[in-house]
Amino acid sequence: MKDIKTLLKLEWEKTFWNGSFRAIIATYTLLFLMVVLIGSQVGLNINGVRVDKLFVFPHVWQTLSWIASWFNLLLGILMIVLVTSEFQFRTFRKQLIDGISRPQLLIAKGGVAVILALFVVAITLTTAITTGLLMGNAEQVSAFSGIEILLVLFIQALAYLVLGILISFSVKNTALSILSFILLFFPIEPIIRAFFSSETGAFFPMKSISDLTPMPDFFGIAAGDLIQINQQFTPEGVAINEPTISWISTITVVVYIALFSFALRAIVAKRNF
Amino acid sequence: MSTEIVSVNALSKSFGPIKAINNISFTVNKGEVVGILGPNGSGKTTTLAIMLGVKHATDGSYSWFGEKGTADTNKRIGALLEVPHFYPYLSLERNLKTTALARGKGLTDIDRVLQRVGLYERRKTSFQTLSLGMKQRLAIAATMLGDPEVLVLDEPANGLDPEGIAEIRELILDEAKRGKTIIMASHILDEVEKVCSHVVILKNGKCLASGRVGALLTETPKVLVEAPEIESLINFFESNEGYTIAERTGNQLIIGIKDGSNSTALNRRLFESGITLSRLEPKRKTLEEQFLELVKKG
Repeated sequence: MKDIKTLLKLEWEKTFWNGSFRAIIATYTLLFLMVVLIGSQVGLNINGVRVDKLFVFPHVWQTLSWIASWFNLLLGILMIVLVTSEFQFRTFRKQLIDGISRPQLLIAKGGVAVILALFVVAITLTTAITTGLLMGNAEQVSAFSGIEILLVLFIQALAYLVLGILISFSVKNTALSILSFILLFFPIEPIIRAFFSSETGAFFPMKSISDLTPMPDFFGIAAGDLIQINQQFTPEGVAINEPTISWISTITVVVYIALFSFALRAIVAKRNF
Repeated sequence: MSTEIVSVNALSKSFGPIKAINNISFTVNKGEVVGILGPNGSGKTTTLAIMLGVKHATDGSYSWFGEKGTADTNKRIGALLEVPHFYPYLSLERNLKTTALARGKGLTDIDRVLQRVGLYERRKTSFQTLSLGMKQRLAIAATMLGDPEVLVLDEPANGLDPEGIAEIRELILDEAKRGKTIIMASHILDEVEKVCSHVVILKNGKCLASGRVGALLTETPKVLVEAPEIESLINFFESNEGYTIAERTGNQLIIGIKDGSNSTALNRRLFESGITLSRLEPKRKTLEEQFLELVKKG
């Protein structure tokens, strides 16, 4: 435990002052808050249904998780920058010389990934609570119904980050790592997936990761509201509004995170620094 | 009573078809100052990189303090490998803090080591603003953080001006006097000669020789003699056993004394034979000359 604390202290010391880290975190936060602000305030209409319906409790959990996931790719890129810069500065080598073990190099970066994923959850949670309080509550449904999507968001963010670490340790070069990361999402995996049925395709890593936080069922929510207005048609109308969490995808992604971690262990154990 | 600090046994490392080092073995005992010598590409850095666990050996093994080298044994060593590696955007202080955190000691030692290498005034500036020589000084400061038992210095004089080289030499000698074991790789033989008690000589990844500097330097003592009548001088050496003429340039000869006597005895004998010298100068081969000879032979 003391070791992990020291490792995280060490990571903090070098990460906090890193210009790329500050820039990417600031960009992430700003973009996320801007999209939420604009989405909830502009009063956009789609086919006569107001978009701001998505920002009331409890729909806000899924909506904000979905928005946060747009920028998770950015965090993956941040992780790549953090890891590959250590190759560039040859500071992994220095840390090994100074007495950090190879597994500890990984534990330290894994710790950063967990903290970044928690940051995503924290910012989504606080923004969702603030937005929900400002925008109000859909009737008859608990404000916190569907909050478990935040756990799924955490797993998704962690998956992007661990994949970023894996690509960085394999490729080492910053630009090439970022390129590989993006190309893997599009078009490499989609092309490979095209040769498989959609049922099988759903278990591919990139697909299952991005499927975790689906777009909120906008028309379902709108329809639910209409049904609620016309009470006579709706004995169990609210069921339509429940956010849909694919637990199978979630488990698949957890398995992928484990596989990525094992691959990383093997790569780092073999690597000459 | 010597305590073994490091033992390298039949270490080999190949990069594809290239054998970077081939069957290298040596040991270093406590308190020794060992110079690893060799021309560029002879495998000095590769050997040290394997000993410090950053590269894997293709074959062979090494041990530190009598146990298998691990991250924990590295914590007892202050090492500089190749060029200094630090976070360019961090201040010198913060860079040393990362080193201390990794090593698990030395957090309170940062000011001392910075003062020791003359960088204390610059402690708040970022690493990237330093000159090459200053970066090298910082790297040497980092090795001393937490006062480790062993220092491993790869080309410590790299990038330093003559004054800096002298300062670092003093620093190394100081640390050696305090009982530290020092392993230093260098191609500046003059430096090694001034500092080291032992040497390991590498060429093309092979170990040509290793041992005490004195023992490796044993050779026939040589003197330079000069006389106006060079012919009688040549006659003298040709007719007297115990001397060889190693070299002749103009009126000067370089003589090897094989019978174990010295230049004073030679001067007396020449005077008694009626030859007056205009110059007599003992010549000791520098480590550099010996090294070049060894490397040529190897």
